[in-house]
Amino acid sequence: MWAKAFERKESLPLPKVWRNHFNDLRPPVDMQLQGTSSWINLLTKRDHRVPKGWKAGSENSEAH
Amino acid sequence: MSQLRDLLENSEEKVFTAEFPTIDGAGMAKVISNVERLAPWFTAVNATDNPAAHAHASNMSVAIALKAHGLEPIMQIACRDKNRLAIQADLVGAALHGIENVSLMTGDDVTAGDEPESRRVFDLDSAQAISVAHSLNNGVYLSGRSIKPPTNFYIGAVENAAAPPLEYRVQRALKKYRAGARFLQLQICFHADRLETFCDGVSKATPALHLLPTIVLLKGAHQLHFMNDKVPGIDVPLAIIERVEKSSDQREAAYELALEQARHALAQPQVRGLHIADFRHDDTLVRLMKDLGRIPQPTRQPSLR
Repeated sequence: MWAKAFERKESLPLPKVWRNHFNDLRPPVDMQLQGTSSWINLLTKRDHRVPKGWKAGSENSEAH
Repeated sequence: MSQLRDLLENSEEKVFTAEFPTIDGAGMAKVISNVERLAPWFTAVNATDNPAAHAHASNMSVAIALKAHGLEPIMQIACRDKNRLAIQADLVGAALHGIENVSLMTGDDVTAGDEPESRRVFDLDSAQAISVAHSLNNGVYLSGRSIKPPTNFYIGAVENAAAPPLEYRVQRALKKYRAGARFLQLQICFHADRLETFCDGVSKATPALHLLPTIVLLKGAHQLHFMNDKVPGIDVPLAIIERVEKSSDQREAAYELALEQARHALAQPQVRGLHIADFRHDDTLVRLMKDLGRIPQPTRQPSLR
């Protein structure tokens, strides 16, 4: 799946900064949003919500 | 502290790990006989989690048995079969039994196995699962609920240096590093140039991600054909297959190939040792270890915490 995503982002005319987002560590998908409107979730920022414990483990170069 | 962590983080010594055979019906006798075979040569062994999407005795049960019989486990967790609740339960349960090394991976798709009609889970991907394990080390479940005291996992992952898109493999490894992984067991690689490029890329990015390339012990060309045709992410160049196939002694040719690959891998930057997958199940494993200059370690005492 990620290999397909990689190929797709390479083939699209995206700015470099957008391409590099591919390397970001993404939070897990919120399954509560299944069946809801992605546009409404984007505008209300509902899709920005992450689990409370997510930050503790993300992007930490001093990890155990 | 796990011996694996101690050696990788605090020494220059080469570290050898191995794939522990899957357990189906032969009971604890098979576990014990393999522990006796592997313990003198390996710092830790992988307790696999339904490898290649085939069901076997569980990762947790094998890891507990390994620890009980004195061989340090690296408990693998694949995201294919478990959601985030089950993965966290596996991790905290492993900590309960004193299992300190974990390796988190996405896992082969169900179509690679013998029950392709199974439901896929993939609630987390490998980097997210690594991050969740790291959160537990910081004393927090993904929900935010605290764990006191926190877990103390030495977190590993896997990567394939030889599968396309090659230009992204180093970035993907570094993503796992940023998520919390500190060692990477690399998939079997039959392209020396690709392994060199990968190791070079990782070494230029960080000195703190330890690499353990996999070396596979095979019986002959038929197993090379099988890996090339059936195992996801593995490509065996025709020249390598023909080198073994046209030899008058295929077993010996396959061994020489493995020894050559092992020496090449150990010479790469950032490589701290090897991970061995033995599909021969004969005395070749000992021969390889001796040819690489390994000295058998005294067998450790069983450890039940």
